[in-house]
Amino acid sequence: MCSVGGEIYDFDIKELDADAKYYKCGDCSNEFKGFGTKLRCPSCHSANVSKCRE
Amino acid sequence: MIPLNNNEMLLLRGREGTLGIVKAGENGHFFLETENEEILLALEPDDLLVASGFGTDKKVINGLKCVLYMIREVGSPFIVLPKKHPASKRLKIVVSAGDRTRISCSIIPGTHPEQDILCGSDEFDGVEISGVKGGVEFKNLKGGKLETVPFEI
Repeated sequence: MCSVGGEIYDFDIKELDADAKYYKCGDCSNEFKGFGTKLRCPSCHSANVSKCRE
Repeated sequence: MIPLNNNEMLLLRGREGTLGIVKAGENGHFFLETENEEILLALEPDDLLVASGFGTDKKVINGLKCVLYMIREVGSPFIVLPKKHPASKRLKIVVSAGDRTRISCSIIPGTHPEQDILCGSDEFDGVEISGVKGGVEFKNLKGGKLETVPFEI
């Protein structure tokens, strides 16, 4: 999925960037960009999140 | 299938390189920090974090464990460097996160053209590593020695 480096990380983010979508938390209204399954809001940890834009 | 739980690290020891493999675990949320934004990467518990080190000695194995520990247990984010950043050539260990990782010896460490490819030593070229329920599956594995060790510092 993604490859990165050791103490200082480095990887090509183009593909991941294309797959990642913007989400909005239904509880705290925080917007974030995410990718994967079972996303939770990084601010309040709520699972009540939904896609808000590409 | 090679059994692997959250308290263990699976080592694949080769002649020139070593892979360290742990489960993504229950938290499953990892942050990728680029120059411009933050991306939240959410993985399943049975997905994998795979670290590839160029070497076989104790320093490399300790390094693999420390890097994976920093990522999974401490919650250290992935800091993404711009292409051709001078630090790329300093990398001794690289990490892949996801449900499947392919090892390739034909890419430059830290400059991976595809997201599920991780650079490794020649002997592991073409090996595919997949996280499955309760363990790890390998394809095209022709050499190396597998060993499960405690995932603790």
